Amino acid sequence: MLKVEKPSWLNRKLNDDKSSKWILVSPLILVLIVFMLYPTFYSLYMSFTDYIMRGSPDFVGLDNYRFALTDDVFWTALWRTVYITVVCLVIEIGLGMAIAILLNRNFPGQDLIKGLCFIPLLIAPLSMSLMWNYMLHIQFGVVNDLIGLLGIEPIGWFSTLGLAFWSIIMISVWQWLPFSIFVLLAGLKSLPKDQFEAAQVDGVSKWTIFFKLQLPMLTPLIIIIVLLRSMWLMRLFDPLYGTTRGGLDTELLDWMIYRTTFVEFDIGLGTAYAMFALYVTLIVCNLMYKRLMAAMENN
Amino acid sequence: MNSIIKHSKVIGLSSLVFAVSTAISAFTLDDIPEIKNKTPINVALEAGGSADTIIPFLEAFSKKTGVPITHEAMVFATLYSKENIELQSGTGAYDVVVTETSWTNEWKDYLAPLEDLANKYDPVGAEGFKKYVSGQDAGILRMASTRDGSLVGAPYYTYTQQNIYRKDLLTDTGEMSAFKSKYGYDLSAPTTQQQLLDIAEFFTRKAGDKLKGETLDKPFYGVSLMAGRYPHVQDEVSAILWGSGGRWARTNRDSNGKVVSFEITDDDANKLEEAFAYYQKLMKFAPPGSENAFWDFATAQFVEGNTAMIPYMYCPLWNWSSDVEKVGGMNAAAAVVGERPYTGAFHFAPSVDSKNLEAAYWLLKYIGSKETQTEMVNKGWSSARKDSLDACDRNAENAHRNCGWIDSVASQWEAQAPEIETYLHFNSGAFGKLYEQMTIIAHENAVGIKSPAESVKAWKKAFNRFQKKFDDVKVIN
Repeated sequence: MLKVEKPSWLNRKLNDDKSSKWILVSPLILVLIVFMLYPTFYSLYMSFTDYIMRGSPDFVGLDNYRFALTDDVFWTALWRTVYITVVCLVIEIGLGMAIAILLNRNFPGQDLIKGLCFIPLLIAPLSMSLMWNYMLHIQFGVVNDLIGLLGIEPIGWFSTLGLAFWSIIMISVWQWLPFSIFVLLAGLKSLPKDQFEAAQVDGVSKWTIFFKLQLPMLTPLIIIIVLLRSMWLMRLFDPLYGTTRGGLDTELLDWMIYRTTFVEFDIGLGTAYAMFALYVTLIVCNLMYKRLMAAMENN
Repeated sequence: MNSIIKHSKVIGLSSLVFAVSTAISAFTLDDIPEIKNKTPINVALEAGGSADTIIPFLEAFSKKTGVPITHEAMVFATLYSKENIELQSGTGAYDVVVTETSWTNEWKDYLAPLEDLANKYDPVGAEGFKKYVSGQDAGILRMASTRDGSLVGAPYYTYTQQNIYRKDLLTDTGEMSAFKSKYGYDLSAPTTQQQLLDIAEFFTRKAGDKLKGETLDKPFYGVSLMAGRYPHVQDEVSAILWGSGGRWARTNRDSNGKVVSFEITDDDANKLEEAFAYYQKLMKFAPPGSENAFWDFATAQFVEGNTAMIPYMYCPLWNWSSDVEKVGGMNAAAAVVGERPYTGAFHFAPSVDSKNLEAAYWLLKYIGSKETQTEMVNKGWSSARKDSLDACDRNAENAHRNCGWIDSVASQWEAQAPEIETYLHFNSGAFGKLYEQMTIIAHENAVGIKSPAESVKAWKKAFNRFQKKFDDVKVIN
């Protein structure tokens, strides 16, 4: 007589639809708990203490938040961060769309051009900022050498108050513009062509086709770009590290958090600043997510 | 006869003492006794030329003692943060840490006092160790000690500031004559703030003007400054402030010499404001780009022949500054104006969490010895040992590069040593944090974001907050 072995507990669970989903997703949940939830809640706890890496943390209630709310340096950094986020998004999406439209056709050397467009994304952000710091130096930089050939006086990209901030924006856009370009290009290529062809036959102009047909269809992708880039821009750090280090009125929120927590070791206050940054990011992401869902439903 | 015998005994005894003290002061690898604990030790290093110079000595120590050594080189900008985290967390990640002298008091609970280690491991004990360090500059030794006087590190590297200037410009007969006509006194390395300002103004010229009789094809500037938001601009301000007798804050001690409080007196606040204002005046004669510069760019300006002086430059940059000869220049070094430079130094300090304090002790004694430091000095090293600097070979081919910076630094050490005790840098347990605040405020003053008066106000606010939060010595308002 054939002996049939009883399946093990794990086998039984894996074969069961309900249990198998949880078993398969459990490693991810564990990673999220350990590397995301635990640090976030631990930081939240720290933000209510005066921990300075000596002794044990003492609970101080809302003192750190009260300090942050009355701290001019914090509000200035927050305002600059919001400003840089909005400006970068407008430039990246506008310019990204224009370049994506130009690339959305067949032309000689298109693969080479598209490959070159992708290069900035491949450079490590810190290397990028160091590279631009040297390239844009007022006396030793190659960029000023080149514009000098056109008879233009050298420009203090990172050494002029006001301009230094826009130079940070410029190098950040330079690095991340390809992200918008290629997401939008992928979107353009995936749009159904028959509707546009029909509209053209009816005599509708290309501008109208773009604004009335293509752009609404691309809205979900644009919102995804805004969502992701907002999160990243709120944490902008690398462009500062290799260039101004927060000097010349360029200090952003993430730099301030880094300085407070890892240079001044005021862990309580630094995590309070970080919590503020998290709240702002969550609000923006929540708004964008709702718009995204609505746009996807409309489409 | 009796007097001859007595005299002979005195001579004999003196000779014996001299021989013994010389013998005790001398220290080489062969003097290290067997280290039974072979647990590897990890050494933190500042990345760059200094790491490259030290690593062969670490390897030699490891080979001789059989104790494996690993090392981790970090750029200065991250050195404090990385080491601080490991020390305060008690991880034992580093057995020997690089300690900037202004971090000494902050880390006093994490560093093992050297005299205790000497008593435990060294046959010559603490007394012998004191003789061993007697060749160090007294001021730098004080900086490597806590405010209570406990030596916790062996200084091995200094970056004392000095005025590095174009000797060929200041000794050019045409320039000297023009300067005397304009300012009414002889052109030479400045010794007062006004002289520095005058020389900076005098040598700031447009393209098309003449310099040493030759037409300039690009602008030339009087001074190189490090006004960027890096930990250098506040050192420049410190030299200006200390040179005028001011302090960032006064250190008050009780009758036993214990530090009991700090305060920013009205006189110090006024002098600080003057120092900030003076720096802004100097900035007018610095090249564009100085607003975001650190020592790298400031020295490059000089080497490329764009500036006449780097009035507050760290002495390790002397060697590179000698490259100005490639553009027809000649460098020379003088004391900074006021002779009170930022006399920074690194000392190797053993962490209390080290699993091999014995090896850590012998390593830092070896690296900080006269013999090792002299060998390094003759390779262009900026040693903190005065006796090693005295032994720099001034007849060697590279004598100008290796030794040319020494005399002005040594004279400043002598002038400044009695005052080290009074500097906030070497008495506050919050100084690692205060340093960052000084950087921010001095930078914002330099580029015009804050006025000198606003900068003083910002400093008072920051000092009060950080000193109270990170140290237990009170602040008198």
